[in-house]
Amino acid sequence: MARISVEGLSKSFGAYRVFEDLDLAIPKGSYVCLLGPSGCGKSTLMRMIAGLDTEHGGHIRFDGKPVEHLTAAQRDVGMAFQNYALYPHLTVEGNLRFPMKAPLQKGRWSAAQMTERVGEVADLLQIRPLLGRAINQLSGGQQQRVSLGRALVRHPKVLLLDEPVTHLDARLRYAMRSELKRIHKVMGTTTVHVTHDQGEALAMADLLVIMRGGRIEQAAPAMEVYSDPATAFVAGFLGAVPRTVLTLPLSERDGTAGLRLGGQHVPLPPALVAAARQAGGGTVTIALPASAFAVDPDGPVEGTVAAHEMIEGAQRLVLQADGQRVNIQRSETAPVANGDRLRFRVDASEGLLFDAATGDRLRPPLRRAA
Amino acid sequence: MASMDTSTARLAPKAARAPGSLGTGDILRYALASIFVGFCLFPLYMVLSTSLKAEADIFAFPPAWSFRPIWDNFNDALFVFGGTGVMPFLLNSVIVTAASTAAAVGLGAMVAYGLTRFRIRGGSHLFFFILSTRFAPPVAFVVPLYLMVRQTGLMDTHLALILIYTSMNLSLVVWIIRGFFEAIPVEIEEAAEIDGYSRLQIFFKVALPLVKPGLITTAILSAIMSWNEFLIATVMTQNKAATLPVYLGGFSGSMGLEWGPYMAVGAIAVLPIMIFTLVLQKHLVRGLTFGAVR
Ligand SMILES: Nc1ncnc2c1ncn2[C@@H]1O[C@H](COP(=O)(O)OP(=O)(O)OP(=O)(O)O)[C@@H](O)[C@H]1O
Ligand SMILES: [Mg+2]
Repeated sequence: MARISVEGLSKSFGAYRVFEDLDLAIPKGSYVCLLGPSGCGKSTLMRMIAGLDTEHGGHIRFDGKPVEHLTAAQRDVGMAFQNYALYPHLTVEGNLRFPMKAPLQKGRWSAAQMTERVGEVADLLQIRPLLGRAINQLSGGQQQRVSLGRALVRHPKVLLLDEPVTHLDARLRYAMRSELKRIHKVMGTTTVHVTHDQGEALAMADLLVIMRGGRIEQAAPAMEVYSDPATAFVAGFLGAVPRTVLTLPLSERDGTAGLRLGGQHVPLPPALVAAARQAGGGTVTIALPASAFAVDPDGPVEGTVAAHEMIEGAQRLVLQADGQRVNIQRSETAPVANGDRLRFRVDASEGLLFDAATGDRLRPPLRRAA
Repeated sequence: MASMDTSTARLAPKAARAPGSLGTGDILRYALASIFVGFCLFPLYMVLSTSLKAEADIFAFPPAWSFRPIWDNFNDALFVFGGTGVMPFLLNSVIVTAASTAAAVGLGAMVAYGLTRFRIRGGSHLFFFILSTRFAPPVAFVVPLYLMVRQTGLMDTHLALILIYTSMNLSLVVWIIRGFFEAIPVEIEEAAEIDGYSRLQIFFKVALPLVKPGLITTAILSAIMSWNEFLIATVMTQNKAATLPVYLGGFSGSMGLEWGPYMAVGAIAVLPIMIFTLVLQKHLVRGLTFGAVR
């Protein structure tokens, strides 16, 4: 168990800068999910916390103590690699025993304890029948479980899981998620879990960290990230039907302020107008939930169907208007084809505003009172 | 082993034809291959068959394809000639080959590992430099080596041959094993690092087992080279440390060429290295790292 603080972390691969001044505080015993597009630096961050890559700027501390001078072994972390990295010359059991047989663990495990612990982990991950197998006789999902087992077998202080359940089938993945949470509850090990699956992240994380392009967009409890996004990217990133994020000019008509979309005036609620004005007006970015749009033959704005699909009985449409994409969901399913023109209504009352340049949230000045 | 695999792979798409039947193309290919194999193996056949023939059968023309095998030639080779026979030379060959092979593979693996896993300034130049030691024909080194061996008092010792053969094989070992180390996904070793192993322990417990096919391949190549090397062995040894090729080379002069025993010694020279190679080859498990990472 350890509290991890990452302070002013910077990292370059040659001329390519992955991180610049990255800060992240991971409370002791928390379960953190790292979520972000491919290539945003999730694995790189994990490797630095693990001590596999020590050529970086800034500091990493465990429980307030800097760990830069410690080797990966001395940091006492367990890591499940994105590509498993099992020992191909050992059996499943050999792989699970390997961490306990390390010289650094000398004296901590008797032979009987080792056998007992291997059995425990094998039962937990449902791999007991595989213990005698060679690694190249395992399916991808089985390998993934072995690599998970190897990471947690010796009770490390910190668990780093790089996409630990992505290659399991849906049922097993679901079971594994609750196992991971259960293990976490019992052991209380500080855990960092990288995933591409939003549902997984929302379900598991005490602290959800959204990364993009080597920056942390938001680090907060999962529900807060979902309902109160800090940046336009986060607002448009989460959800089965993500919020529609539009960058639009402010406009004024009949004394009410609003935004211009498809040549039409979309009125804004007063609180948002105030927020937009405070930021200097001009252009703003607004994020709107799917419920803000409705297909309506008499609606003011017209868009072209760019994509359509069925999600759990509802029809999801992506309409192109003003060169921007609008996500709409409707329950009645009329046949559409790409290129069709549809009219729709917009209700901006549940919109969230962001600075068009920086993507930072623009909050109404007196939000709490309102 | 590899050639076997490619041949089956090439034949696989022909499965449309009834199994067992061959097209004209196949027949031609097999005929050519058989002729080539026969050409290569014929001298070996002559050595082995002559070593088992009686004097009369040896000189029969046309050669006798069927004859009654006798062991007299081996008896002569092993126990009669020079009072001691071939035994001491066989022993010398075994000592020199085993020691120089072990040293070359052991050292070579360490060098290759260091050069692939650590960023060393000019590392790639170093690789080229190591290989460049093989550019000149060995005969170019004979005189300088002779002077060095004489100066150090190592004339006619096992150690002289072991040192020279080790250095001759080292470059090949480094080059071949380097490729095997490079094929190991670095995450496997990082996993061991996290699990609490030091670099040296990772080398022995993770890296070496994973390049076993490379170790075996280079051991075979090094052993064959050391076993058969003639030029340097004749120059550096007279008789205490002389190896089988030296003994074979001196055969014709001293004995007035007795073909039977000569071929028996030849057979004795061929068989150990052949058996060594066949046994080791069985352990060449290919695709060991397959499936380790996704
Ligand atoms: N050894 C390296 N040399 C050069 N560039 C690297 C190296 N490792 C990572 N990168 C780059 O750093 C960036 C972050 O990589 P990283 O593997 O951390 O991404 P990720 O968020 O884990 O992506 P994914 O979700 O696909 O696993 C990528 O742009 C990648 O190309
Ligand atoms: Mg990754």
